[in-house]
Amino acid sequence: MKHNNIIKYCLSLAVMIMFAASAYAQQAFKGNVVDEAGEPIIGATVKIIGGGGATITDFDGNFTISVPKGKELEISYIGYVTQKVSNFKNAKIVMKEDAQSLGEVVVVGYGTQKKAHLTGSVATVPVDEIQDLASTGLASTLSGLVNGLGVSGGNARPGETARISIRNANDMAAVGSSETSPLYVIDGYIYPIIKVGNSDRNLGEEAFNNLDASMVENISVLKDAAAAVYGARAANGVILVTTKKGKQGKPKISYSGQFGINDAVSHPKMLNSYQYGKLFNAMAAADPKKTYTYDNILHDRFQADELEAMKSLNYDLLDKYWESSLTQRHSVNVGGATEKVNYFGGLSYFKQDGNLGNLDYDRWNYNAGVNVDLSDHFKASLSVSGDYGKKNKPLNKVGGTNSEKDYNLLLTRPYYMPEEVDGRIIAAYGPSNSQKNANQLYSFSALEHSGDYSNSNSNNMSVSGSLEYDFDWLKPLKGLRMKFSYSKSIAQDKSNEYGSSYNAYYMNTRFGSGEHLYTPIPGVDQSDLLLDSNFKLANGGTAVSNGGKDGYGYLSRSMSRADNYQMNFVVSYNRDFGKHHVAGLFTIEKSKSESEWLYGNVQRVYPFSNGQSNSGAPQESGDMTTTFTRSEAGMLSYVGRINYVYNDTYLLEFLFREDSSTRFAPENRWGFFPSLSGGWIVSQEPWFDNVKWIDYLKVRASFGLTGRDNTTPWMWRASYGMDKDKGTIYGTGDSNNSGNRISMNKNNSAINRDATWDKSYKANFGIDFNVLNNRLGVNIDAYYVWNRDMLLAHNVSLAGTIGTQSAKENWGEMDSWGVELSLNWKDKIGKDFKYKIGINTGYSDNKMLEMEWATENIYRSIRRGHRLDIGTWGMQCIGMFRSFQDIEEYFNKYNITSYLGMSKDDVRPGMLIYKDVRGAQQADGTYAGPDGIVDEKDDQVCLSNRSNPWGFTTNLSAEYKSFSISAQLSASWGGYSFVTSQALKPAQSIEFTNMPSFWNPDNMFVYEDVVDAQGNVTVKQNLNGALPNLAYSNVNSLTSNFWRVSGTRIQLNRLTLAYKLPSTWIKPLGLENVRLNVTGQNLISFLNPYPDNFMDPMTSYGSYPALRKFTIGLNVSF
Amino acid sequence: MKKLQYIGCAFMFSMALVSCSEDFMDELQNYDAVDRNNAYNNYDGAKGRLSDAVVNCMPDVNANPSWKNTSTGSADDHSQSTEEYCGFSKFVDPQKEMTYMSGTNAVPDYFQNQANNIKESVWGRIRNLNDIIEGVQEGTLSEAEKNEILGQTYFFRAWCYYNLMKWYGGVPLVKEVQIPAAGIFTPRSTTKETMEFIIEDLEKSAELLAPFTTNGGWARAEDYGRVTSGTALALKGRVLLLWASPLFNRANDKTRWQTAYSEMKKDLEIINSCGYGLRNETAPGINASGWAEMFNADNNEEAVFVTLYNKIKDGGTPDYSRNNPWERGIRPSNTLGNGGKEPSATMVDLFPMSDGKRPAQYNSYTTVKASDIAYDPTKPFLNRDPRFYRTFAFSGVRWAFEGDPNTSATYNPYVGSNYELWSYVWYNTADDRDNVEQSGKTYGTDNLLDKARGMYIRKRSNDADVSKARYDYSIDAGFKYNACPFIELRYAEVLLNFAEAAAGAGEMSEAVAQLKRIRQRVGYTGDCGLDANLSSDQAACLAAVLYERQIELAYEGKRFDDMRRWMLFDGGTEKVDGAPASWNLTGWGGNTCTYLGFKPLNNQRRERIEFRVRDTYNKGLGGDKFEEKNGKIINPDPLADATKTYPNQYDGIRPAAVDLSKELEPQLTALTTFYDTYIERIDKTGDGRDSDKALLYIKYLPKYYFLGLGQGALSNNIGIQQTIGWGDYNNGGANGTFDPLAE
Repeated sequence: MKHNNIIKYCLSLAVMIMFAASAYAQQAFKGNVVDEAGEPIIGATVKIIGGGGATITDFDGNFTISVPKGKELEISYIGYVTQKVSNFKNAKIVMKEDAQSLGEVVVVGYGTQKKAHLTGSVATVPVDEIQDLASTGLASTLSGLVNGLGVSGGNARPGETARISIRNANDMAAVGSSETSPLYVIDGYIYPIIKVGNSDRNLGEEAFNNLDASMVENISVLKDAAAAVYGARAANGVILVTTKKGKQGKPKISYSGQFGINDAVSHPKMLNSYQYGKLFNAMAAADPKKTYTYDNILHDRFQADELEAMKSLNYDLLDKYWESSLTQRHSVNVGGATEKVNYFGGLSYFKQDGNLGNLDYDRWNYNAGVNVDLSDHFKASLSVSGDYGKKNKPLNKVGGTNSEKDYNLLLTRPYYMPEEVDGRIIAAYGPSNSQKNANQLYSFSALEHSGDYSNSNSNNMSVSGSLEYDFDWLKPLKGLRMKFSYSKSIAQDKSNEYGSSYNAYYMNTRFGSGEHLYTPIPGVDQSDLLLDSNFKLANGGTAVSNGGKDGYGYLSRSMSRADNYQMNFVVSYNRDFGKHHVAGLFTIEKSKSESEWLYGNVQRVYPFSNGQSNSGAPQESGDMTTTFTRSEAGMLSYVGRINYVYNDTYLLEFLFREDSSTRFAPENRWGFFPSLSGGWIVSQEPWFDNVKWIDYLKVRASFGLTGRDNTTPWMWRASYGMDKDKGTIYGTGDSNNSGNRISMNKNNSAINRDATWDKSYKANFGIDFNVLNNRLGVNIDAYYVWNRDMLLAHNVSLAGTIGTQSAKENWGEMDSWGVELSLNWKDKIGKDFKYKIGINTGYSDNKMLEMEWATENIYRSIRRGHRLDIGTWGMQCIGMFRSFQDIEEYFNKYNITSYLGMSKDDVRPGMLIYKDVRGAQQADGTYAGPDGIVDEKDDQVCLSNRSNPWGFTTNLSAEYKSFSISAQLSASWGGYSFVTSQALKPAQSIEFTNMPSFWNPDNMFVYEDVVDAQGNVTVKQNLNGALPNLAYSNVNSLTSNFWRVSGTRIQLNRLTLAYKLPSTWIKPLGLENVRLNVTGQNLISFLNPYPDNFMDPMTSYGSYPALRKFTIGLNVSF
Repeated sequence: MKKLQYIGCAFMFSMALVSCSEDFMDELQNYDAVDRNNAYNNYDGAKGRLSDAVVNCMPDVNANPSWKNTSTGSADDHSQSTEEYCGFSKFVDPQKEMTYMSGTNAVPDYFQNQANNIKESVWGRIRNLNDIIEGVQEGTLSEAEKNEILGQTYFFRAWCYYNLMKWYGGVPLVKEVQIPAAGIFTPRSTTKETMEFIIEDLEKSAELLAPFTTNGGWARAEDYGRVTSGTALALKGRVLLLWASPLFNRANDKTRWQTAYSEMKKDLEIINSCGYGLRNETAPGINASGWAEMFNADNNEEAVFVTLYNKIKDGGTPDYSRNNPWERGIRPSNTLGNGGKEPSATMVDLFPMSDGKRPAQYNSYTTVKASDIAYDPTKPFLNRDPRFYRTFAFSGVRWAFEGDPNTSATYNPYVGSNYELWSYVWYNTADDRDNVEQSGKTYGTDNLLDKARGMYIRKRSNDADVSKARYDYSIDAGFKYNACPFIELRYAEVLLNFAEAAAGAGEMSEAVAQLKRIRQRVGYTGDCGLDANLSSDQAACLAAVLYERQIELAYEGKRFDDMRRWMLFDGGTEKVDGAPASWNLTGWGGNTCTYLGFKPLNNQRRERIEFRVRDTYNKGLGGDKFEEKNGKIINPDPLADATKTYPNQYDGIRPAAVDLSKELEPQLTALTTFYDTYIERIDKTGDGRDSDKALLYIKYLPKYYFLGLGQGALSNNIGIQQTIGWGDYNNGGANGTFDPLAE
């Protein structure tokens, strides 16, 4: 597409331009607009039908307008039925609430549309309902509010955000789709995904999450081919956000604030010291065929005196350090407008403290803008918005970099181990008194007091300006507008880390007859064990580094900056001709993004480091490194849309977008994405008046194409990496570097110049109807998506002699479909009680039609024509070996030769019995019958067909006078869950890992009495234990039906109680509105399927739990 | 206000026009990588690309032979299939048969490795080389620069294909960068086509590199080590010889020998013009010291194809280190080496006597005359070929190095400049001593303790008496940071290849002349022990060449290739399932072993030599470690004189160690006395025994001469033909259909 195409588009635009004229004369009218309760409506639009002026109602609902003779007025306000006024005698105008908000205006890409005129599947988020929720990111507040919009994560660690997925686009991750997030468009600005450093950052997702709810005017979700207006990036759906602008009238200031407490929904229940000790013994003595000497019974088991003492030991470190935390959110918004100028500004602050140590997140947001009428037909606008966020995290790099380490290790540290003995930090050495894993060196208190930090700041700013010119002065071109806009967004990030080192100790000899305890046995004097000489440095005698090398500290800093801009030139046309409404739009859009990243780190820093690189004490050349990178991307697009509406009954829309991106080769850069949709508002037909029981009925259908640029940038052309080292050596002498080489690696060798956009053909059919006197509104959307030319790799079918991995090619095919059903019941009982019940439910599924099918483990792989979610596969448990005779019988009965890699001699009572389901895969791909070999590869069965396919969310609200209540309840069912494997085996070693409470040794299989060195029975024989012996967790923790639990979930997600102060109280104070509320989030999970209810289904075992939040909120406006 | 409107509108229109130009997209760059133009239009860029491709092709001393590396002389899968080392490799294991299936008995995969990773695949490195060829050809470098890069690239492509051909015969010939898309498939070419393609690349390489290298080698010292026209032609000789060898030439087609001979004769001049020759040919020194110096010499005319190393420490970022682990590997533990490499008794016993002839006990190569000098296995160091002393180290020999392995805590007895190897052993218990079936635990003298070896391999050692140290020695790392080169193709091999081709072509006197050159370099004179019949008896001449290769190239990773080439495991008599009649060996009387007088390796065993303290000294028993008691150091060695203080406990017992830089004769007498008095040779179990302790014997199956593709390689290349004799995974395990001998 070159310049000449522009002309083509401009011509087609010209066709849409029609001629019209009108004339007018004057008559003044003063009116007052109120709602059904008699309260004034502020800001309602009063417009002369057919043109000639408009105004807005003031603080008291009053307005004045000069009406030309013979003309009528139209009064509209969001949420109310638009009224026509032709009787100018009655000044009082009572607006009726619009049961289904049909007059509502909905933001669709590059403009707005009346909700009534929508033909596609465009959902709007009830923005009012998220105002009371305090959350790190906006995304997590949306859960359950929009049908077809899934939200995951985002309610645990402060600063972590949720991810949104529209119509289960995230399912495609199963076939290697890297982009499953929707496209985010905020105030017309399309946020790109951009590579920063070595990772892709979805700037849209970040910007969306950083928005404060109070600044949001509305959020639309484009779920079907309506998204084609965003073309090549719209296949995962689009989220459109409009932020608040000033409203006509005197300046309005509003404040909203929340203050609240966050606490864990629950922590997993763990074994107490005594139970842990017994469990340890039962495991240590699990193998009846092993011979135990006195010495190893003494040292490898807890002795009776120790167990007795452990009954009173309870060093629950998680309980010690976990605190409920505070969260607060404040926002102030100011806005107003005169005829010529419209201005607004807002500032908000959010802060969430952490529950564990140095962990918190806070964020400032601001936005401000002004729209000015420079002359009658020439408008300009300028706005700026941004946020400044700061996140502090503990730096947990002892023994690895898992960010969940703090919570996990506090949770699983056995309760008999104190954190410190005699003022010394104690490594979590277990009965063997040796180091099994570096995690044993982790000390929460040492890190907490060390001054170590991991801070990150993000600073995002967007500036945008536009000029708009309308041709309303020129009769033939009336309705034509021309607009140029430019937006720039700059995202900057910085993160600093500092890790120091500390000494951790172990005790050479410990208390108790088996020397296992860190605390004295009551009545036994062993005070000599507290002498200095008994404490040895753990970690092989070196200090424990939090990220550095060899007992030293470490520093790093990274900075990034991403600069993006987007330029639009828009021509739009919007005009009514009698019963014909015509609208058109054409835009040229150009955008470019670039980012740079700088990273440096220093290993081995002095203990007195000031945090700067000059405080390092590098010893080797690799101890200081610096990296910087840059990336660029650009897009050019042409967008067009034509809408036609006849008599508010027949709706037609055609739109297209032509996109080009540097992600693809120049000749494959362009993609054309059209969409056609239509609607029929049946209830507008004159004959429909006979159908009394349906108040409103609309059917609509859409079909169109969207794209997905699911590829590695620059994959289309040959490129080479640069390696500084490990090249060849040439030259005489002994010290020539093995220096530079310019390499082709896995990724940059897989070139496909022919790659182009994934294509996603979307069809949607919808019915909206209201019955029972508009009290029940029903929306049904059924959709079908044909994903074609999906960029997928070949693996098996790619000849090895080609010498590299497959480049992604456009060849995958997948269909997905679903039905979404929303029911909204809205009614009043009496004058003062209003209530609403909304139910969202649906069903979706998909099938893969073309991809590279697995050739191994076919039976539990994605198969042609089947869904991507292959369910959960695991072993089929048919009991537990409770005696050697059981083992003998089982091996004989099924002719078993190998049981999970073990011969019969190695199998022990206390192991679960799995069935030998099938034999090895044969050359033709089928599987042989049971082969006497039980293994994970060939013997899995389907334990759950898929994750919960059924479910619904109910949003309830009710108002009584000044009181209101709202709640969200959700339920899902149809699949199974499993006890997480983390709870089924100690992470590294039982020596320093406590287990969940259901591992109570009294319920566990124990082959024979476990005695201590004195012959005392410490754990009784338990041949009927319900649980297998934990010692054999390699066998027992495999996914199997033994650990399968119900997947049904019912939970109360949120509840808000609010009270609105009567206006009679606050009016005298000059206040317009004062509202108080109490909100709770993540409240109750009604079903707990887990053994001993050891964890809550809302949380995940071993990592930072979901937080239950209670906030008190205040909204004031004046 | 109107004006403003006009300006505004004009601005909008102009921005509209500006914004709809697509040009800005073409200016955007991928900063993560270098694009093709920069890589190939720039001389340094192209060299960087070459370095990347070549580094994956270079022989490397670190590794067990694999898809990537050939054998470099360690006790690896290849060398353990020959006389050189004990221990059954998978090729000769009598208890397991290799199959195409993945698992414990899988055939080694020299064909594919990881299919989807360009850096970890046989075909990835070929792709890389093809990319350079295409990129440089299309690029804008000067003709000379292009030739310089391309000449080297063609060599390495040929090197990759040579390594495939020697195992598989014909393979797919991928000559360009293929689009990584489904449906692109390259079938196996015939062996002849493969061979011709290799030769073509090598000739191209030689021609392109001629202006740079045929005037005495690369002009700039920093290019030393790069391949030359001579390297290409030397490899060409190897390929032609392989093509003429019985493995591929079952009917003994004379024209192949003739071609090999005449081409190699012609090419030898060009090889010489690149500055290559026998190092120290005119200065053999004493006890083959000139020969020993050759392995670690810098700027070395012997090094026709060489991998260079440096002594830079590893672990930095960037990591410029590339160290040769050989010296560390062969040195005994009391030098802070890794413990040493132990030769088999067979290998020690088959080396020529000092007259250049095979010991009479070694009844192989019987077409060549045996020596009249009696060989005494209990003192293997008496009267041997000069190369024996530089190939093996034995108890009582000086083996100096630059460094001091002692800290206060060790009992390592010597500093490097005085280092003597004493490595006789004793037992801790009588049970161990009397257990013949299994190698009981032994303890060696001079702090070797349980790491002692009966004999050590000394070949290629950076001997401080011969050449300066090319390593940085330290207590922490020993010999680790070592810059000694590895020579994959030595000038001596060029001559031996030529000699063999000449012998095969019937030009026996030409062959003998080459053998003489080789032998004169190590100090032989006159007829160099090469009998007159070699010039007339073709079988004897070929046998002499193969024997000479085995000696000259011992522990350089070449022997297994020679054995396969000449089918020396069974003489080529055993049949492969499904093989056509064309596989029958019809030349050489139908049995190469009989023809050469060689005793087939199948059904033989290799044992380990041990020199142990005679029972007369504390029944051959001693301690298992040094101990300090009452301020006195107790030496566990039963020969140590407990009345004297450590380390002077051997005064009057041990003679001075043999110094190779002096005449051997007078020194060996004292050593002989020591051996006769104190220690005795025992051959202990080298190759394994079965679970009933019965002896096992080498079994190399005939199908191993041409390897089959493994399951992974097959499933990565659906549609490829499997080699005859091996099951085809893609075809339900049916016998393969590819015939490496078909033309």
